[in-house]
Amino acid sequence: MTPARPGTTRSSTCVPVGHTYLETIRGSLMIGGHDFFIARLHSMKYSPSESGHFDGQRGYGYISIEKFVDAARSVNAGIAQPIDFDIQGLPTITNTVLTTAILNAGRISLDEKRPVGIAKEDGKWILL
Amino acid sequence: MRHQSRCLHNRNGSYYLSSHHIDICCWILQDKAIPTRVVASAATGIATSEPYSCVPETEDTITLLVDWQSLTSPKHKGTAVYTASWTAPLRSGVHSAQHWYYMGEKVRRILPLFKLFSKKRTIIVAQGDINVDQAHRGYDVTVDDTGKTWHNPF
Repeated sequence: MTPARPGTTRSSTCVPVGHTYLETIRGSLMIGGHDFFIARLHSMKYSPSESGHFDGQRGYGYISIEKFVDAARSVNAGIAQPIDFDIQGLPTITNTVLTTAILNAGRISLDEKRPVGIAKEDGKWILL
Repeated sequence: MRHQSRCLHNRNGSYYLSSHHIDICCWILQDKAIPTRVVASAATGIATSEPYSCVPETEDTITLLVDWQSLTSPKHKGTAVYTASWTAPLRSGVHSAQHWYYMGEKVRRILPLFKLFSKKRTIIVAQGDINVDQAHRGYDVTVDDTGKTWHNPF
């Protein structure tokens, strides 16, 4: 089932018009044996704000904490129900239970050196 | 080899490391397929050696092989492989080089945004693959009809 014509017309190593090489790379780059670190602007902001304070609130991890706190405050204030956040796709127990089941099956497989089955019974995931 | 210090008292690397990969796969496959079987394998020996000296049960790399059964077709079954490591070579280029590959019966390719406003918007559904590499912007898509194309949503 290899896709037909997986040619090299435009591979990911090509530089699209309007972008420099550096712009297409995130992480660090070796130049002449030296390791140049390139800031990963999409996930982190380490530099301080104009007033010298922490400025990474839109970076990795912070937005999810903000959404959790907002959700908890809404529930406590009586203007939302926990189930509302299942529907919105937040990482509630309902929305993450299957991921956890797979991870736990992996742990059992390593510990007991065997395949682990997963099935759904009466709306609940069970490991076999 | 580099070793991340957070492993020091950790023998549950798969819970920590694979969770994002499995999470996004569950999200993509919701209402389309369910997992039916998991087999895990682990590489060991770096984390438990000097200078890291993690607890003996600490794995270096864990791979999960998961069978996914289609909910719409009894004869369609997928195989997913998730591999995550505590260990990585120094100067390997990026702090976290996650990549993702999908090959399947249906890849839906919607032409870029500037074309969405024209009436010629095209959605191509065909056999193909998708390649995403965290260290590079954009992603590769191959579909039978058009071959390989490179997309940059930024």
